[in-house]
Amino acid sequence: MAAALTSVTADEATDAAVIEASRRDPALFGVLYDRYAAQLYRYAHRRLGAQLAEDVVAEAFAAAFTRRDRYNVAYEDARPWLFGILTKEIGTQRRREVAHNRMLARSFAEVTGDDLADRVSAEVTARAAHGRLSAALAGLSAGDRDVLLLVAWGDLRYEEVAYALAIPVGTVRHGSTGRAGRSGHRWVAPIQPSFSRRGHERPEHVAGSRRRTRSGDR
Amino acid sequence: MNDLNMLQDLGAARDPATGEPPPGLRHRVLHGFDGPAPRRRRRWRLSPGWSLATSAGLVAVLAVALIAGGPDGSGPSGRRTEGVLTASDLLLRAAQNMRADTTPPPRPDQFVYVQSISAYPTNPARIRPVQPKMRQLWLSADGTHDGLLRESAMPGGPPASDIIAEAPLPGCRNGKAAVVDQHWKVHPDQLQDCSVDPAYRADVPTNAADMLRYLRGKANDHSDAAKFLEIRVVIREKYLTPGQLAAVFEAASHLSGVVVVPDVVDVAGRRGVAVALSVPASDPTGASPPAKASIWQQQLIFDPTTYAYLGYQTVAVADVDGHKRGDLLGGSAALQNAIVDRAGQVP
Repeated sequence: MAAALTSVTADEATDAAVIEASRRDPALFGVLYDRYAAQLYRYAHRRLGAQLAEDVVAEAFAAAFTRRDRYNVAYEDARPWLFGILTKEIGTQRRREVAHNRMLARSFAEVTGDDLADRVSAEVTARAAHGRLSAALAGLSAGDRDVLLLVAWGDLRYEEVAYALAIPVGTVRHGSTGRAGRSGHRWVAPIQPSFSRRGHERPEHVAGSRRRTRSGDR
Repeated sequence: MNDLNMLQDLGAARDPATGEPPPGLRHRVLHGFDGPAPRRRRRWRLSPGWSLATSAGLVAVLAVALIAGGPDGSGPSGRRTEGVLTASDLLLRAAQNMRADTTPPPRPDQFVYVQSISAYPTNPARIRPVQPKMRQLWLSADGTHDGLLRESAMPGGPPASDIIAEAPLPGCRNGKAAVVDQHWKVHPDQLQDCSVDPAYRADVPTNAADMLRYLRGKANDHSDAAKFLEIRVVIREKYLTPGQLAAVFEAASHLSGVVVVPDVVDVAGRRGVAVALSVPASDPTGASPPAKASIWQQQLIFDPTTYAYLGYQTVAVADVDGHKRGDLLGGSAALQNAIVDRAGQVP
């Protein structure tokens, strides 16, 4: 099926089939762009603002393209893989993400004036909360921020986050129950107790590729 | 509303205005898929050695951060440690300095004194490049009082041809202002219609998000370039509070296409560092994508050590239209901004 994939049939193909076909016909990778560019851009925009979002999304797609040969086609849905790659690109801008959050924290905080009517208005209350949250995001470790925002803004489930970031699912005990069975989601691969370092891509060194973590996950 | 909902709410507030990626991104991305050579320019960092927290842990992490993390809380610090100052860094640093300034705004009956060395293309056909001149302005804070303009040639420089030695700037009261004739003489008995133009407006935004909307409302279109070009109009020969000016710089830090020019000389001959946007000649608003090569560039200039705002200028970046690359097309170097009690008073 994948071998016969054309631009016409690509619309119905799984992500995995598209990626597999794009190994022979690079142009087909554009199908993935059309499926996921909007949500990846929106996610990057939320984390970094307009100026950098475009760059990191472009870099992420370029990286995904060069790594498509190593994509594990057992995973039909490429969304977690793409979000993982995007997260790494965002990670190269960590310093500026912190600055972005601090700037938004300050500008959100600006709206809280002295006027009583202003202070009790819903908009000001919400924006003040946004300011505190932005400040809190700036103070998180990069790893914690990645996990939290992939869940809250990337709409990934915990297994998908683990998968995207190539970290052990480890202590996630209840993550899969709360949000399982969401409609339209094509999560077909079995949840493994831990993942290889390269996560969504085929492990190159099966033995010894387990990652030991500092919190003692098994 | 729980913590996760609050965070999702924050995310929605940070979404791009259109909800869509920029139109040029698709081409930029897909263009790279045809060629065989990967364009990677750096190696990836290995995955950090931490594990996925529990769902309860995630919220705990957020809760702790909410308590502990202020705007200047912990985290990687030192914006310049990588040695490359981006336009965004520079603008945020300039804004940060402004925020520290607590000067009160002018009273309605006071005057904003603006002293600058300015160059305007009043007659571009004859004078190339433009000649700088000294300029002193007393602007009514609320726009209803009579202001004043004085210009003089630069000491030691070639005589500028279009000096206005002294011009009254009649205030606009009840929709009427005194007429000024072509010799800059005021006629208090002759009135004409006017609209009030205060030098200080309290309603100019003081945060980045509102400032971006403000710039978008004034700009010709919704492009980032148009917003950047509008900044000059918003800040030149006006009084902006430190908070308003900081918001301008913070807003500018979000605009794409803005680059750093590390070493520029302003109209007053001072060295500075600029953030700049280049614009093709056919499109002075910067509205359409730069299909043609840029021929001029607008720069906002800052002191290279203190990041104090020094002024703006427009320079040619190509040899075209009788201009040589590097020619000054217009600009203004701020020497002094102050609040005084009457027109003509020097602080």
